[in-house]
Amino acid sequence: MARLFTTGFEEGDAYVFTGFGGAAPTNYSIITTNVRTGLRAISIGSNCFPNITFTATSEVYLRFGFRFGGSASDTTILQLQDGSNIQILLSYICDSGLLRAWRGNKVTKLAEVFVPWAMRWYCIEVHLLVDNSSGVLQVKVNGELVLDYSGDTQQSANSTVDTVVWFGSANGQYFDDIAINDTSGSRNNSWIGRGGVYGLVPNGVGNYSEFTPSAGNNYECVDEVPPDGDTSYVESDTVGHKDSYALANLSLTSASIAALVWHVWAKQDVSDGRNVARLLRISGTDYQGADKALTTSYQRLMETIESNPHTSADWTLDDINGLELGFVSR
Amino acid sequence: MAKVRISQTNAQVDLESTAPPRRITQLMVEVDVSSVPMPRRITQLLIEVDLEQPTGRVQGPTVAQI
Repeated sequence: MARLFTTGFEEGDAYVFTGFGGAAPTNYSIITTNVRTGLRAISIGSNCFPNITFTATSEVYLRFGFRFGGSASDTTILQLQDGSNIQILLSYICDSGLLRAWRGNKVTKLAEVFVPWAMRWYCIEVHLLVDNSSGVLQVKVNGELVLDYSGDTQQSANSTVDTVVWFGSANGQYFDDIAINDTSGSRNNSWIGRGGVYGLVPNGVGNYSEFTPSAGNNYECVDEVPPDGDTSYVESDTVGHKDSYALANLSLTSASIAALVWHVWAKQDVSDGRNVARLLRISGTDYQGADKALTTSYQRLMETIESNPHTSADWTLDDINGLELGFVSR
Repeated sequence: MAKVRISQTNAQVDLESTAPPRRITQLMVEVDVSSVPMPRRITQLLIEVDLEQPTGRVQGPTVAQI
């Protein structure tokens, strides 16, 4: 897999993160104004450190929209870690405008560059190759390479990273459009670019309405952002039942599409080993994903689809605008 | 058999606009310089505005200093 993770927080909550650390792990908020792209972003306050974990890799590309909250002191933005061991740390000082890259927990400063502080979004991209001697750490700001370090990028005993930890500040630090690539596969295996993440929610009846709605039309029970849990839902006790929905069209007329991510907020009502599977319906054909296990509590389940399964080619705007999104009871 | 219950579904699309940057083709600035009899005139000042893709927001500084 090349695209490891994608979110623009368009689902309206922060459960895309693997976990939350710090003394105030819920000190964040999903914002709906002054976002970078789409309709939502996240503001993270002090002592809140959400993280994303992925399969360990020696080389990784990271992209995120970032708006500095403003702090006179050297404030951590993120840490790229091998487990709990910090390999690389990025920090920023608003007063001096210095964006800094460190090895370890600010053990060795690898490089720094002036990036003027402003209450506007920056697109930051990071390329990290972890190695004791021939490592690489590059940082782009708004598409321009501003940091280019070669040498020792390995602080722990392993030449890999498997975790990104995001940092807030007392003045808030704002993130949007997070994406992570490794170097495998034929797509999404390098720099991610300055794109953004848009959300699409159901807005009409699709080909399948086999689940039972709590009220009204099926699509009206699963279109809330953020999800409303047991207030509105669809459900089924029959293996193989399908629901699929029409989606609003993207407003852009010309765009390249790196990936589509399917989301559900789902559970089983009692513990019974039930699953749910992703369903895309494209040009009259169903494309079903692998089973994903459910628990008796709601959880966010996601699946990244990097190309159109109907054409095996890159997604196009017409593809996205024409597909139905849904799921299968398993 | 237990019921599968879904409260929300959505898709998120990571995309980058491929539309060309917008271009201001004529921006005329008159500069009144007191020591020169006639005002100097810049008749064509071509500015390409780098838009933050894909939102269409202006990417660069919004105040230019000439």
